[in-house]
Amino acid sequence: MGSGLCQSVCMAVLKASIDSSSKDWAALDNAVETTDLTKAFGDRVVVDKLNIRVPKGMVSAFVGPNGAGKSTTLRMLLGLIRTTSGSATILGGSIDNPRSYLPRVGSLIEGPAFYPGLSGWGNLEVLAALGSLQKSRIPKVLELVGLEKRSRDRVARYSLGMKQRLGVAAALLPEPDLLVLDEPANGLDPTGIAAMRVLLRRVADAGTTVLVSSHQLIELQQVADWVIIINLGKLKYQGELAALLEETGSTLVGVDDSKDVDRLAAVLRDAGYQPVAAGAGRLRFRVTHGTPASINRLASEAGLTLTELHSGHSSLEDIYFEMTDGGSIA
Amino acid sequence: MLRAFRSELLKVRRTWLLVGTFGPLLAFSVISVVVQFQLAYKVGPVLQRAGLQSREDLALSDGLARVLVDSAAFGGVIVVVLFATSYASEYGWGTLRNLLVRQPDRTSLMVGKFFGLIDLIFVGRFLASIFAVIAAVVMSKVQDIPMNAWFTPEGLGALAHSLVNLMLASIGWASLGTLAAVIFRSPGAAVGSVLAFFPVEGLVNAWWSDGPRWLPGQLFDAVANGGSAATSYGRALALTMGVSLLALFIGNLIFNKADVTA
Repeated sequence: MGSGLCQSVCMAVLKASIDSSSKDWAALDNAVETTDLTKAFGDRVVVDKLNIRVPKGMVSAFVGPNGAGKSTTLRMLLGLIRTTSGSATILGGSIDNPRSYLPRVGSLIEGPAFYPGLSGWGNLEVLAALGSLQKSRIPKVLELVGLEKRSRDRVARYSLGMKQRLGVAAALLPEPDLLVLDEPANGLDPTGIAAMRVLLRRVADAGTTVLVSSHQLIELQQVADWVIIINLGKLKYQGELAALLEETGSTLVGVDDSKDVDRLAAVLRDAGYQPVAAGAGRLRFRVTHGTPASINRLASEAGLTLTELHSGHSSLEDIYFEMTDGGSIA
Repeated sequence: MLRAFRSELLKVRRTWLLVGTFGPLLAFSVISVVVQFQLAYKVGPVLQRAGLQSREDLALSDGLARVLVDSAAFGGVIVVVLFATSYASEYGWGTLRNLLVRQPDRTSLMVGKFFGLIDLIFVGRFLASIFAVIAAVVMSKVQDIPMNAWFTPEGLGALAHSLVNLMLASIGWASLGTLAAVIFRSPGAAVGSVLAFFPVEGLVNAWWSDGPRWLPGQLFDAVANGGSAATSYGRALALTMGVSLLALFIGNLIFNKADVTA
């Protein structure tokens, strides 16, 4: 995983899938659509001509290594930082006029931020007053995140997980059409993470578009419908997650002697299969036709004994590593 | 703007903010009154020129008003620190990004917050004045200084005028604190800069003979005192309001242009 061979072949596959799925995008109603969105801090381009789509009513996973430009992109969408160039439409409003869409957006960006001297309830009251929101929403969102019993405690006494849940409650306060969450599972225990996953699904099923940035890829894979992968400020992939996982299906085979790997690769290549990674007596290749039995037969006819043979799909984590140079910091 | 104002009023309920604002205002007022009355019998012409009140001064109809103004001498420091801390903490805590998502109109947010905080200062000044008056009444009995003239219509008018002047001077200090916070975006740096302002202005004032007519702190003090030897009350008030508007205008420009990365 992560070898040059794997990356080049995977990228070709993914490029093909970007092209094919682009036909579907046009049919989708997008909550967010950016066109050549760019942000530079001085000479450093952090977001580079980014063109992303967030389909309405879906959970979209926004992933990339630290420093890839995720938070900067989200901040631009929320009007917190200005774009250097490019444009974007959020819920039908222009990014240049955040007032036109922010009342319908809920967000949690770069961790929960609250007044430690106020209670959880008090903090939500401040936001409700500022946004002219119904105070009756406060107990509802606190219940949604399971904080109703501690809502009168000062936030200074909250654990990180509780603050995180309060952050999600604050994001849900305006009954948003678009929910933007940056690492919502930070500091949550396994139960809390699972509850967050259920909550996101429930929110999306109720019609809210969810754009969630997270490094919890296993969790994202379970909840996301759409995936956007960026690195070094550039788009690497966007499309339906299920289709991506399907398209990057692969089979792993192993042989006794590592020297036989090259022979096996040649045999499979001759049969029309595409090896994507090799090493230590193992070979991974993309399944485009045939069955594990036919692959075994090919190896046997070439005098090679397989010690391993697994077929399956890549995980979002596998794909992430392949597309982001092993997830290295930009 | 009204939304930001109402939201700020909810925030100023924080215990530490109330204690940190009212505590020093009240404490300085009472201590200052006690010290003024204790020193009054020693005050001759030299100390009078230095601003201290003699027993005869204190017995005048505006004696209580003078005590009130002198007792609020540290008020400017408290106001400027409160505003610098409060605005800059929004950056420090990261709460500013929450506020801007709910109120993207940055000018409204800044002005609404300003009025919310200045309300807190006005209440604090009013409470400190009540405490100062009570302390003055007690000390006048202890020091046997007649206070009959204080509660005549003339005396009460002077007292009310002084209280209004103190509040107007607070607006000047508040605008400087706001500007410092928006420039430095960190509570430590903002408070450090406004605290450094006082000795720096003192040095400039000592070096520049026209300083009392033009320096912001001198003008704010002139407003609080109802005028000074260097400038009339009306001129000081007009310049104080001008300085305040300019500081808020510059602060607003920076606040509107700057990216929120905290």
